[in-house]
Amino acid sequence: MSERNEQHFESCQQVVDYICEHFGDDSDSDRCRALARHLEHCPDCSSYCDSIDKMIGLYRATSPCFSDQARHMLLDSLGIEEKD
Amino acid sequence: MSIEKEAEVIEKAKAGDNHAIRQLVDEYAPVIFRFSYNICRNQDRAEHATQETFLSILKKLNQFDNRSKFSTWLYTIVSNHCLMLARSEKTRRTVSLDDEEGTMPEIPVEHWEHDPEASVERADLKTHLDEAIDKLAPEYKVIFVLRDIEGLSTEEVSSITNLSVPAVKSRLHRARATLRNELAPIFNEHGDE
Repeated sequence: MSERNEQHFESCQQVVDYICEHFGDDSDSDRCRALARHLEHCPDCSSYCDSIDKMIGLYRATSPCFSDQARHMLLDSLGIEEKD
Repeated sequence: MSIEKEAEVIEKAKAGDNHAIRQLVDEYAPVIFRFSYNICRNQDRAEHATQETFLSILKKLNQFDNRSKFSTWLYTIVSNHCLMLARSEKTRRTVSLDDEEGTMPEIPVEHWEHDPEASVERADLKTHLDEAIDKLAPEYKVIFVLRDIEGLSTEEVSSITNLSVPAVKSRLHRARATLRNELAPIFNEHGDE
């Protein structure tokens, strides 16, 4: 299997996980295996699930970090000194 | 922080140990902030929500009895806080909650051919993401953020939100489908179609 195919396979595994989550089955169930087979031959479903994966990745990637200034303000609001 | 270490820190924090409280802040404030930010998509409001949540946590810390994970307890408090804030806002345009456990939305067939970060300026992308998630009802937003952004299990989300597992799955599915539809134009090669 080429590297490209391996990446595609990994993405499909995630796709299967997403759909299985809805049906409430685990990854080894018959339904999940059937879904996996379906996705291999259904570009629309596969594309849909891939887009969900991208979307979640974007939301995760655009979450800002908790800044030092915000930490300082939080400790201040709790009446806690930076150091004992 | 290991579970044993965390339990020790919590006990010290309950006794008013400032060092222990700082340890809890350093461990969990970034988590609470990230969650709050993804609900309100506003840095100042998220920082304020983090402060309010921590004040609440310290007041209620003696009620934590180690029967659930500390993180689950924290998510419950911050979820309730964010839902309360969101519900207090008026005239927000949100996705209908009707028929939430009924038929699932159909899968749209358009393809997301492009990586949006390759074709959309980062600031514009963030605006699109903000606008899309803002259209979700708070009850859906919380489910999406807990499950997909925070990566909690469906069962944990069920426990935090006091919803059944099927209700969590249904709301999650609808939230994903709605966000995906809202964001389709920036992913779609023919976004104006």
